Order: sequence, then structure tokens, then C-alpha cells
Amino acid sequence: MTTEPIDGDQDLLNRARNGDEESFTALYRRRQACVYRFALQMSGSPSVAEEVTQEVFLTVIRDATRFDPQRGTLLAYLYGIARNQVLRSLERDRLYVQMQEEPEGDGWTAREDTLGDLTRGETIESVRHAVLALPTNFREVVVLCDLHEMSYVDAAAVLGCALGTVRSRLHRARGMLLEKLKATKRALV
Amino acid sequence: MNCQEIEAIVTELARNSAIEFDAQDRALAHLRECQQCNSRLAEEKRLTEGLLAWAAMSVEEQAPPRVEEKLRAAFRRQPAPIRHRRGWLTVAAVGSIAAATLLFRLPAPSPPKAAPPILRSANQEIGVPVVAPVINVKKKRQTNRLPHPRPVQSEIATEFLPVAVDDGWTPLDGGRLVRVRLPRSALGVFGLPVAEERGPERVQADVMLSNDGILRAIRFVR
Repeated sequence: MTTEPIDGDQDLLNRARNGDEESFTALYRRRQACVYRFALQMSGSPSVAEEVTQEVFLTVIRDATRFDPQRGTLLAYLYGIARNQVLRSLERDRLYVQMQEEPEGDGWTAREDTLGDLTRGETIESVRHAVLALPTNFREVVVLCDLHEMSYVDAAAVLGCALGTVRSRLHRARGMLLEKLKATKRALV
Repeated sequence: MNCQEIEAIVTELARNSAIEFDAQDRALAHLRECQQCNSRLAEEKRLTEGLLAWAAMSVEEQAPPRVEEKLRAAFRRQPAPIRHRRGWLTVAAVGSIAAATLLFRLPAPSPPKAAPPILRSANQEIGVPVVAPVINVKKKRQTNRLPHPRPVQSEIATEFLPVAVDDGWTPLDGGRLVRVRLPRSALGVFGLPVAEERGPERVQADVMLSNDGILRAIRFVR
């Protein structure tokens, strides 16, 4: 993901504010995939990701004036709305998410190395399960920084916290991921 | 660099994040000698690879086309932007009529002990400004409110009643306020009750004029 200011987002938003549907559509097409992937990786649920994406852009339609370019890029603003929507959705479906935390056993084989000898598919599946099992405040830094390759600075802007908090949470989250992956593997031995 | 210091930056090392050259060199020197830290870094790197593999696999993921269709339909249902700009008129009108109705049904208060001289001017004609407190509305852009011309404690005023001119003007476009005295019948023009028994009395009002001199809004003051 790039969080550099990209020429055109603001122009498209301004024209959309003035009722230009094509500009809104162009903005949507440019940014929907990031928002959808973020929601999908946070929730593990395509239906939640779809709902979140829709809500994010409905917010843009209804209340585009809330975006303040002084406070960050439009993309960071969209991530921020998406994050709030995801957290709301996770809170609503907490029971469902807890059930998701249980890893599926068929993605693992008993090996010495945590991830080293797994096939690519196994690796992805096991990492995905481990990330989904993280507490949300740790999960979101992994998704933003590791999966969306966002800088600590931009992630801090999206999450509304200090840069040092992002860094320490990421460090801790990755430690938790490794522990979860090892624990899962041990259980399967 | 010791093992503890390596642990503090192992995430950045595994993610190839920017760290100081000096720190990187010292970390590499330690890693060459410490098997435990080397294993720790290798583990972190494999985790990074796993995460990147997941990110690469999901790069094609996107919202289904029906989301775009729904959003475009929602966009079309939005009111025209001009209506957003003039939304203040509706709100102001409803609030003002209610406030003015209450205000002008009340009995006249006893004369103030020290009424501003300007209010006592007896030779003012209809629409002739008593004073012209020119206020540049543009300076008030950030507040997004109608300006108050002169805060006089003894005054009670209605909200501004918009005078509809369908050219999209809003207070943010600039204008000025002028205080005038009008025949009491002017209240009726704006849908306010007129007390017949006080017919000859004039009422005081602030009129908002746009820069081209057109009357845009009015409020009654007592």
C-alpha cells in the first residue's frame, strides 16, 4: 500500500461533493480494494468486508465534508472509517470471531521449523488463522504494517495513537503470532 | 550490541525497515557470533515471508460489483448540492418563525433606563438605515453562522428570516447588516403576528444584504 498523497483523490472527492457521479465512481474504483482487503483481513469474513466497504463509501457520499486534508490523506481517512466499522462489526459478532480463533488442523504438518517447511498454501492459511486469532488492537497493526505495508507514521494516523505505540504493538503482535504458530504446531504433533 | 538490543530491533531487521546504518552494522556483527539471535531473526523473517505471501495472495481481492451498483444508486438519491448549501434557510425559517411568534406576542416591556440613543431616532423613514454597522460576513467564514451586528444586552432578536432569492447565495458569500425601522405591518409579510392595537408603531429590524444590495434575510429586534 502506498500512503503518499496521490494527486487526484482530492479532486475526485471535490467533484463528487458537487454531484459528479463519475468522479465518485472513479474514487471508489481506485480505493475500494484497499478498504475491502483491510476489512477482510481484519474480520476473515467476505460478507463483513463487503458491508464495511459499502459503509465506508456511503459515509463519503453522506458526509464528504468531514474529510480534512490537513489531518492526513484521503486513503488514511478511508482506512480510519473502515477500522471503526470493522471494530463495530467484530463487537457485534464477537462470538463468531471467537469461534474463528480455533485453528483448523488440516493446514499443518508436524515439523521442527515454525513455518520453514510448510508449503506456500499451508503457510498462508496458518498465518491467516494466527492473525485472525490476535486481539484486535494487535491484529490491526499487523494488517496495516505487514499486509498493507503502511509506515508506522501512517498507521499511527489511522489508529489515532503514537508512533511508538504502533511499533511496540507490532513487535508484540509478531511475538504473539509466532507463539500461536508454534503452539498450533505442537498441538498437531 | 547485545541480545537484548537485538530483540528490540528484530522486527525492523526482519521487515527490512529503515534503521540506522550504525545500528544495522552492529546488529549484523552480533548476529554473526550469536546463534540464538540468528535463529530468532530467521524465525521473524519467515513470519514476514508468510505475511507477505498472504498479502500477495489477496492482492486481487476486491468488493463484488454489486457494492458499486448500490453505492452509485445511493449517490443518485442524494439531494442536489445546491440544496445542501441552502439547508440553513429551512432551519432558520422554522426556528425564526417560532421564536418571533413568541417574541411579538409578549407585551411591550417598560422603556429601558438607558436605551441606546440610536434606537430613539424618531425621524427615520422606512428602510432608511438608522446605523450601518457594516460587517464583512466573509470574515466569519470559519464560524459558519450569521453574524450578530451589535451585541446590545437589552435587545431581544428573532432568528434571521431568510428572504428566498433562488440564486444560491449563502451567508458565506459575503454581505452586510443594516439596522432599519419598518412599519409594524412588515411583521405580517414574514408570517408573524401583527398586534393591531400597536399599528402606528414602527419595529426595528436588522436586514442582511448581499454584496449586490439584495435583501437576503431579516430579523426583528426589540
